Amino acid sequence: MSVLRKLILPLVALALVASACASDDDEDAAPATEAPAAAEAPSATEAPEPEAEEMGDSSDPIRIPLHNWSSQLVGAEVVGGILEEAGFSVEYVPSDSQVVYQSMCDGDIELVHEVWEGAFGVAFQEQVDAGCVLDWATHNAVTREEWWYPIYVEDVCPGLPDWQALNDCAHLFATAETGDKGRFLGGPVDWLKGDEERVEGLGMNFEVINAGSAATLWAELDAASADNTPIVLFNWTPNFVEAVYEGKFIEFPTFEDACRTDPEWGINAELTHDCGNPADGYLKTGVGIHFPEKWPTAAAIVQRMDFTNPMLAAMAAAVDVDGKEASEAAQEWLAENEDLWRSWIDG
Amino acid sequence: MAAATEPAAGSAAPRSVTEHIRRLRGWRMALLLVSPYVAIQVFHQAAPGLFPDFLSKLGEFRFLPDWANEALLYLKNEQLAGLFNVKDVTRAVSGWLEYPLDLSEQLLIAGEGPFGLGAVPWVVLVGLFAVAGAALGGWRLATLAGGCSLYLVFFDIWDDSMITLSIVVVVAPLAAFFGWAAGLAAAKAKWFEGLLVPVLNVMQSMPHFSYLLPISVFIGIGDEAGAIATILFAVPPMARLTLLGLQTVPTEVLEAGLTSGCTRWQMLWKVEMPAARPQLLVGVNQVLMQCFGMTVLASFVGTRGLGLPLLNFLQSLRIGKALEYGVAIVLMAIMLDRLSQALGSRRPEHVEASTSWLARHPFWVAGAAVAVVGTALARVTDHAQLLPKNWTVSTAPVWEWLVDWVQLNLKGPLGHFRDFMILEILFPMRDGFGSLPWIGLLALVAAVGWRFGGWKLAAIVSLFVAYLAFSGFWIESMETLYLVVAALIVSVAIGVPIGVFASTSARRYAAVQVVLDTFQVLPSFIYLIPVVMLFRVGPVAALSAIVIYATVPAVRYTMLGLRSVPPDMIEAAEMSGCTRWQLLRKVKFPMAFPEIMLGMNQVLLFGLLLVIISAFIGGIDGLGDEILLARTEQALVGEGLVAGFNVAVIGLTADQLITSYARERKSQLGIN
Repeated sequence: MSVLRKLILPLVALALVASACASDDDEDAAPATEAPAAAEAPSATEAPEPEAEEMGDSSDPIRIPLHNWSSQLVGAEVVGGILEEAGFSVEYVPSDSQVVYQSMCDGDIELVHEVWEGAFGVAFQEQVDAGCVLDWATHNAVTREEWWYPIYVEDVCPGLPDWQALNDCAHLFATAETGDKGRFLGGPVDWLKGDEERVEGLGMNFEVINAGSAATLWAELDAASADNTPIVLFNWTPNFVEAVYEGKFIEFPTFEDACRTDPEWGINAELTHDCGNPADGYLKTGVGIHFPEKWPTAAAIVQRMDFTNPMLAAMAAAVDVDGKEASEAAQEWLAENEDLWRSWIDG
Repeated sequence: MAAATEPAAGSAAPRSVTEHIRRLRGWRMALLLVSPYVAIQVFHQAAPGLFPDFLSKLGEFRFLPDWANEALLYLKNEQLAGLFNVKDVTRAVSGWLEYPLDLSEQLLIAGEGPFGLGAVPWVVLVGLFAVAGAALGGWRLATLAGGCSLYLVFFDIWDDSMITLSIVVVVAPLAAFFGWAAGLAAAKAKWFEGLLVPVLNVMQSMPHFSYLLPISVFIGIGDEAGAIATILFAVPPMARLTLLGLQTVPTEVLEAGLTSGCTRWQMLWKVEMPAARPQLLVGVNQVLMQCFGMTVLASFVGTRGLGLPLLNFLQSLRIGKALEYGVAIVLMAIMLDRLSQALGSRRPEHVEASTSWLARHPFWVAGAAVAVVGTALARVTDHAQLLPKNWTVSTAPVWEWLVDWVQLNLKGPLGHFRDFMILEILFPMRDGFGSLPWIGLLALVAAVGWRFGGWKLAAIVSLFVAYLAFSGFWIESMETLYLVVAALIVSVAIGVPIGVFASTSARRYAAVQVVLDTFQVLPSFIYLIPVVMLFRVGPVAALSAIVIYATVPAVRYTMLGLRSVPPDMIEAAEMSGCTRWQLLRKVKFPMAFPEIMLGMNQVLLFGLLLVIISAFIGGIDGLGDEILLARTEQALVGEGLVAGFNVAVIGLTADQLITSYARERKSQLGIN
């Protein structure tokens, strides 16, 4: 037994040193058997540590998610392109836009550059509170998510975009399954928009039908626009839709935090949610907790990156209206805005 | 179960009553089977105050989802038995997949990286596919393989399809191997078969979505995660078919092998495997179909390839482009399937040993020539390495025009159809299923189970229904069930006539086969968008999407059943002067009915898979919504799994009942 131990101990030590030298990030490479020995690891790894720090940033690829809307796809390759210019290697990983915060927490993704307050605020904040994702930067761009109608609806429903005017012509939006109530086509249930609470809070004559994905929202809008069928649906800006279909957001009572929590607030003294969504929601960049330690220079560059509404709209339109590939649009954006992103790199 | 043993052990009189009841036929039997259910329903409706609530719904019973959430979080965060963390182990194991995946990707497309190998130019690959086709199946297969791969080149899908292919060439052999090994083990060890078959049943009827989220937790996201998901999805049919193949090797063949003194090893490789070849080949076919079928879903866990662009095209309503990508998936699946089928069913050829090596291996020579010439060509012109964009074509404008036309001209009339379906059929049906007390469904299912499989089956299916009731998702399960049952009725109403029509001539049969293969592999996401354009978000759109997919097995099994009617029976009927209609109605159809019932079973399983995907349409609050909702928070990861398990249990209940019925009916008819 003791002979065996004599043999094994040096082997383990050797393996630990070797693995510590072989890669500066063991998260992926660590074999399962190393887990029980992990407690001993610090003593072995401490020695080479300063060396790694002198080198500055890690040479591992920075993993950026690709989601399923066009401004993000172009923006991801813009962010990646800038980081590549600055000397980093980048990897793009297709990823579900809800699950991505979990992936960032697990160390599978390094940064998300389009965190929308409305759609992903909850999932993002959960991981920030859990202490494994950092709220790293806020873009200049503001986001708005609200009930929206294509412009031709104004011809049959005067008084729009006021919400009371909308409520008065609820019957225009009625369908077989909603009876005499109007039909509001909401976003997917997992976006947690609180539309039903609002309908109740404002006493509106509408029924909320949740679409299953953004794609089905646009499919309905496209079909309705083909013969000017009245429709009111969930939409947001910046978004390619505004470049293809003209339309307006419904104006609800202005949002305040109290509206969601305090029933006393607003026109309905008994219920919450008697107001619209924030008209200027944030657009943030989130990074994994280890990102600034592992890639300090890259983290500083990412923090300086700042997108505006016109930039995002243009990125989306390049793909959705002009029919370019996302990578093509990203290359063009980089060529046209070199001064700007150079200033982000140089600080 | 006590009641089951009592009559058998006790007096003879009760047994004869049981026997008497069992011999009832037709409507009398049906009446008997539904009577417990009707009794419960009448009681429930007539005296709602007296009917105990817990026998009707257990909505607040949330034990299972909560427990699953905690169990999965525990596995993820804690050390199991103080030794190792499950997440670390699964991640380390899946990390090994990275090497073959990287290698195949570099060969096919990327052309750089640690292995230092250049990407193969498209001219070489297309040429090699064609040569392989020629070698394995003559000029027809060469045309098919060359044509399919040229489609990828000229429709500007080469890069993405090569990434998908690079994953499939790693995953499909692994899945086929694991499936084969599991099937072999089950065929050799009875206890393992008992263990494996229920596991396969559950794996095959779990919706893919419900295990994607746990995979993203335990494997991470990326190509490996998609590869693991695909393997999980593709192993069961291979295992099942291997088991079937080995179990149905004729005893004469086995005896012949034994008498000629084969060792166990020789028996396996020289006797049993060749004898099981037809089933093994079907297994390989299913593995490939499943691998390509997962392409789009795998992109939800970060796998690259054709999936993500396809979803993005749909997102910006570029249906034509999405369709071209979908067709690319279908063509690659068909190409690889036909090549592997030809390879698997090749017979040894006898060539004169005296001829030169060159003459004996013409296709190796041709392949080498293609590689050399193609590589040289790629050095000369970049066009041979990667075709420039302005040389590529697209049919997208045609499809987009078609979609516009359909919207303008069909939306009106279809709107009336939609309203009628919702108000007169679907909503009443939904309310009916929604008000069903679980004990009533249990009684019905148990009665049917008892009739076709005795007390044992009755107990099993009762357990399934009881699980649904206690799972915490009873209402959602019923919402899902109603839609699937509605889709089943429509699919059978459409599919059976098509099957009858297609089975009347060999040519029609072949043509319909191609259409069926296409619809089975074409990513269902593609038709989610057009159905929403026509029927708006809601149950009718979901129903149409399910029907498109679930009609495939209805047609397939009807054809199979009708074509397997013994020819002497048809002859006898014709001799006795049957008209064609009589022949179909009185002879062929009754004979084919058990097979058609098995088809209905498949319709239901297909429908259950798609009802979850149709949650992307929206407007229905079934199990699919629960699975999608589980994505928002990691604390819900177990809930999604439980909801997925509910789907599997619904499928298994139907599966048990229908297969027992078909087995009994087949033995009565003297088939097999």
